Amino acid sequence: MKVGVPNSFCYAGMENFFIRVIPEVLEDSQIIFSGKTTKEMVEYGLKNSCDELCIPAKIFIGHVEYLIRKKNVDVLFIPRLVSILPGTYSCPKIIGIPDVVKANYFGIEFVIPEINLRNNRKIKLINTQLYNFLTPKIADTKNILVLAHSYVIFDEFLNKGVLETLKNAGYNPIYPTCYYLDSYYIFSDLPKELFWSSARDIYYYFEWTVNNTQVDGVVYLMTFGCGIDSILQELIMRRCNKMGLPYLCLTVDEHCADVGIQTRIEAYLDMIEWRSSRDEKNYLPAHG
Amino acid sequence: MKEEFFLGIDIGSVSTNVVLIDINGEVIESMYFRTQGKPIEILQKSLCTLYEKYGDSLKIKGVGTTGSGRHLASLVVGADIVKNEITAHAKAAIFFVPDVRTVIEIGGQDSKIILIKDKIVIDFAMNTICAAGTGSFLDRQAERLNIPIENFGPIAINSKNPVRIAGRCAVFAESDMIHKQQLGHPCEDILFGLCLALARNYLTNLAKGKKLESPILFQGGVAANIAMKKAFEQLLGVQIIVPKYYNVMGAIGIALLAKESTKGLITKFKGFENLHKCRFETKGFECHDCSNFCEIVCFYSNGNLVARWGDKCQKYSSNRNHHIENSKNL
Repeated sequence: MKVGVPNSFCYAGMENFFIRVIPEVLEDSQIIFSGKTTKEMVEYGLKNSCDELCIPAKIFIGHVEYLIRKKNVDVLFIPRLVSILPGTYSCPKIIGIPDVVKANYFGIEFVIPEINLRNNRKIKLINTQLYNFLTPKIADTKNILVLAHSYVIFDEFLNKGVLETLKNAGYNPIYPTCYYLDSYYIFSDLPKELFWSSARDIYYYFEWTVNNTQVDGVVYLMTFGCGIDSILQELIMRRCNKMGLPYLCLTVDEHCADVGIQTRIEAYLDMIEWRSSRDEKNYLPAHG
Repeated sequence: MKEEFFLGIDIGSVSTNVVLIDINGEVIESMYFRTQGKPIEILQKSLCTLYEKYGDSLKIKGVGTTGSGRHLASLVVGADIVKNEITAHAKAAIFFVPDVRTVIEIGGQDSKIILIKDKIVIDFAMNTICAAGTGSFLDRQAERLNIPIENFGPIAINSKNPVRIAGRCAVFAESDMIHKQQLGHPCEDILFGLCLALARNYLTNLAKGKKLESPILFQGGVAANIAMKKAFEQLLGVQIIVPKYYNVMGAIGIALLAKESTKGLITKFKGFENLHKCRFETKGFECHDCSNFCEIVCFYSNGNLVARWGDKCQKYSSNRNHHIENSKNL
């Protein structure tokens, strides 16, 4: 039995988890991952999803379509990630995505187990077992903090080569890796904890890095149509302005040309270099 | 003329600008052409014009390219520096007005805001996908009303009672304009209403949350429109400076950057002679080696393949990267 696993969106980085879990649930199964996002998948996704969805969710639907059309899978394994961190919820689009897919495809079997840790305060480490991402190495200088959901950071189509560009320019990009952050929570000085787990992930990592490491600048990769990003971006922008950190917000969507992104990144790095050639602490942004 | 000169080339979506500056940064020659979708031809033509005018006495010590066609232009002329247009515009603005705090730049298809403090860029923003409020849109509307774009500003500035037009979206702005014109509003009121709408759109989209300090510089092709200047002044309540070379500021900036970067180095400029003779060609194809279907562009000079780009996997483009790395190392 061929079991298809679309490993994009919130399921990116969960490969080890799937390899561990699926044989326990489904006997005689052969796991097929959809792999890296390609232009073909993006086109499938755009064609088959409604326009209110965010870009990562649309691309996820592209991955599903690819598995069904090109890989002829018998079963789709899409867990419902209601809550993957005690005390929080996942984004509603993440919770609902199995249903979106199920309502669209017939003649194929779905296995949708539920993962809900909302009230389970005992299990703390399950998150690190869900996701396996390579954590970035923090260098002594020239760190650029790239903030985005993990499924954007690790998707070469969605990140538009921003990480590569930063590396080629001699900077060290660092970024949050999913739900690894229990120990960072104490650093937050927000009056109220953030509700969504991915928002916590990003915000606490931001707080921790700017307070504990040498960060030259912050780049926020916002995905088009993401509700969490729209709030978090503003929050982080205000913090950056207060601290005088160079900040850049890039919105990524289904555009395949990356020239606009490249121009902004280049100008941004020029700005950082220009500033660091002087004593930057005295040159706070004019607004804020 | 046996002095040393620096060349700045700005290839944008709508215009191609070439500027010649001397060692002190004085502008010797500035040229403004419409790109008309043929950047290479226009660039060759403009450089030939320059050569015919000054001949062999023109000693180029450095060349820089900027604008959306900067990589292409750098391959054609052999540039010493390839920089983005934001840095170039900021450079030129600081050169002409050292205490400048804000730069409003509106070009053919994009608009930018650059905030500067103590001669350093501290923040910038560029318009996203929407082109409402840029030169192309003004061009189109002028054409629709059958008004030459040069007369747009002088007509609009006479307006006593500008109409309210929604400037959030170019398409809706147009339907709003048509509605106002069918109600019988005079032309100048509609035109100035449009200018106000575009300035409002610019301020809400780009300047969102940023504090615009004086002195404010207004540059780019749209700065030619005096009504746009007036609209910004009305909305911001301060004087706005339009520099003398407003339409070629990007090219001046990159020429200044070329001057700085080639200090003590030999230029990579291919020379006017060679340029004149060279035949440049681009061919494109879609690669089907994987499901990304990248569109590859091949660049030929006199029939020889010089560079290729557009691929995600770098299979074809290693050649081109090599070239750009070289120019960066300078």
